[in-house]
Amino acid sequence: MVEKDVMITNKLGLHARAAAKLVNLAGKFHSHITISTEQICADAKSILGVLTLAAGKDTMVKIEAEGPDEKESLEAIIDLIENKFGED
Amino acid sequence: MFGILVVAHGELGNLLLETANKILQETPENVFSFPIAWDCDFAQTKEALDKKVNKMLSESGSILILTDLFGGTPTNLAMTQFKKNKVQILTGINLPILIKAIILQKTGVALEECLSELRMKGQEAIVLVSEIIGEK
Repeated sequence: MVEKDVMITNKLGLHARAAAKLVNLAGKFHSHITISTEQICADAKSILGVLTLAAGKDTMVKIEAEGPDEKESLEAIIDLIENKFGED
Repeated sequence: MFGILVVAHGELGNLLLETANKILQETPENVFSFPIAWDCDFAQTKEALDKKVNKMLSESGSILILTDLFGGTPTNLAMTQFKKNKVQILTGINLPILIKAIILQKTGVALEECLSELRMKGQEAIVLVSEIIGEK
């Protein structure tokens, strides 16, 4: 299992379209991937789950991945978040 | 793959579908809106709905009709279409239900198997924010 903390830095936070991008990306991997705040942990492949985090700008989230492509999936998701989901 | 038909007052269904598509960044297949005009004639609208449902059934085999308000004309019209194992109706549509329905539809799951989950997800997505963040 691999994990990494990352800050949500885009202006709108982890809003609906950003969540959809994250879920689409996570869905391309075979690993089980979660995204969590201090309070809530969600399946990164479920858009409604990811939205329950209600993670605004400057929220720290933890990405955890476990499975055959865990490293690649973690890197890809961290990359998406650090690149502000292609926004701003 | 079942079809999805949103039957709602005025432009509500169109706007919900447009919003879901915008969020999911796709235009799903076999997902349509059937707007019910405020001054609609029930018999004429039922006839048009019959045609729409039959066309969708010929393409999809089964349909999920999502309506906005139990007791309202769109739901009353939709209820004329109910056919067990072929046409199911879920009322009280919200954006999370529609998004979840589109996602489930794409997985190829049978309509009957996702009805309970859709209702549950729609209810779970209604959040009293004060219960989450407490009083400030």
